[in-house]
Amino acid sequence: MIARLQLFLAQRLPLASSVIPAAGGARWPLHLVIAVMCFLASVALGITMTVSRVADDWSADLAGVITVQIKPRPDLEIESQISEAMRILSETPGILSATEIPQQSAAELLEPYLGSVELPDDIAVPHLIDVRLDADREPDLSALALRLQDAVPGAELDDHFRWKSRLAAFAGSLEGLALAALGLIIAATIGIVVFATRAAMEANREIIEVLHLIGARDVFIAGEFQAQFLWVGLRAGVLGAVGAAALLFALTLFSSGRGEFFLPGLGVTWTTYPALILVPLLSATVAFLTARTTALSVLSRTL
Amino acid sequence: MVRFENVGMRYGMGPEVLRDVSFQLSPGSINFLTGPSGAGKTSLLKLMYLASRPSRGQISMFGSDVSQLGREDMPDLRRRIGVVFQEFRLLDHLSAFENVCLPLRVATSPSANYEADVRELLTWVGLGERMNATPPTLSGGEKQRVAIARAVVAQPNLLLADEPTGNVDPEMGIKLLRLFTELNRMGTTILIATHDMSLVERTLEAGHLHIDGGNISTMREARVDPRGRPVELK
Ligand SMILES: Nc1ncnc2c1ncn2[C@@H]1O[C@H](COP(=O)(O)OP(=O)(O)OP(=O)(O)O)[C@@H](O)[C@H]1O
Ligand SMILES: [Mg+2]
Repeated sequence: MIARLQLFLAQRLPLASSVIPAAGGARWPLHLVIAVMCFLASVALGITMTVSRVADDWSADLAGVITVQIKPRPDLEIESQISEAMRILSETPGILSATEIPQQSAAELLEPYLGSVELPDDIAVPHLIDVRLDADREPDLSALALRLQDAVPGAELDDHFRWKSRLAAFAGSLEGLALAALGLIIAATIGIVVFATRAAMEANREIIEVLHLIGARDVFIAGEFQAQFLWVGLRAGVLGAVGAAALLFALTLFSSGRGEFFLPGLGVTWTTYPALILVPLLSATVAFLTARTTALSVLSRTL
Repeated sequence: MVRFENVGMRYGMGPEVLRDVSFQLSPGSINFLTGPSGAGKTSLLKLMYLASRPSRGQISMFGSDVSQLGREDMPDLRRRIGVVFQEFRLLDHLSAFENVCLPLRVATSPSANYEADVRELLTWVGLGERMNATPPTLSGGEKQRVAIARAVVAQPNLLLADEPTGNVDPEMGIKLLRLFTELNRMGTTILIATHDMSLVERTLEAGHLHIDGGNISTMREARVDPRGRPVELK
């Protein structure tokens, strides 16, 4: 088994001396371009994974949670509004708990946005009730909303639906954008490899002719090129992915240093880094298949 | 083995360099092809090793009509033909040894144990010491012998040699001729294009084709010993 694998490798990979000379130093521009492509692909992948994870986290935090908001009215006692709302909630099946969130002053709530400023005392801050739902038998929220509005003037039910759907749409469009970028990057890489394969074949035209004349099949000759480009794709891919990993890591360090209030944990998680292994594998595969197809099609036009 | 009938050939839109060429090589024969420079010897060989197509006429190799063959049939046919190119056409980045291995490498699995045979052959042509040298560091005569070794290593059914003794001294020329007769004894049909009439005179059983101005004439028919006795050299 091992011996057969070694045979296979010796035949496919230019380990000993390849029949087509590797262009050696002349190949660095190709490595550079493909490495840049792989870097961009890795960054796109890293950002997509981070965004979808953050969106998932936020959605999960908000799943099974609704908030009842009660605005104080000058004509009503706020305590009775709250106790009426609590009574309705406790009568509704499918609700695990309802807790009043301790009231803060408007100044405290607004401090992260406005800084510590003097606010007039009479700004009415709504009272909030945090409601946990039983995931197995969620109550009919629109009916509950109507009952609350009827019974408690100034009460409003917020199921975070709009927020969640906007978050999902945002994450979705970012993912779509990254996917489109990835597609373009792959297309550009294919174009580069086609170009480079043709140039390499042109440079080795004489050798290819001799190989044909001594009885080499197209697949043998194409094999030489596909093996060379496989390695180019792999090396450049590793380079690009490592560069992107370094960048993402630096960004994570940078952003975790600052405790942002409304964008918690925009850091790249550890699961992102193993996923970047896909990038060199993908670029090696793309380079291999493209070089093979290009070589075979060029060869099919020779005698 | 090889049969040409009224074959004409031209390069691009140029004049015909071969006109109404008809001849045949019988299996197991040794043949010489002579003619002045520019007469069309190399062009004729190119038709045989399938590097060019005729513009008219019919060529049959090993019994199959060449015009009927597709690209995918070519490698199998070419593997039955060994060629010593006039300008050698060695791969400069490979050693002499690797160059000689090439026909075996493209035709067989890499597991095949041909290295010892290749070493023996190179030693026989006097390159035992220069096996790992690359062609650019070899002399003209040394390159020629590498080219010959590459052409014969796979024991082809047909050997086409274009000026194979042009760059070596007469002694080595005879030694190489002996290599060809040895190969011929094992069944290979041989065609040698040469300017060297002494080779032709030395090999009495060999056929002799002469080409001039694109026309071919058979000067002497090859004799093939039915008992497979080696061709004698004078
Ligand atoms: N690739 C080519 N394109 C155009 N004309 C060619 C080409 N190769 C050869 N010729 C012409 O064809 C004619 C025959 O050439 P060829 O090489 O067959 O001669 P030759 O008999 O091998 O000569 P020599 O003994 O010098 O090797 C010559 O007139 C040559 O100029
Ligand atoms: Mg010639």
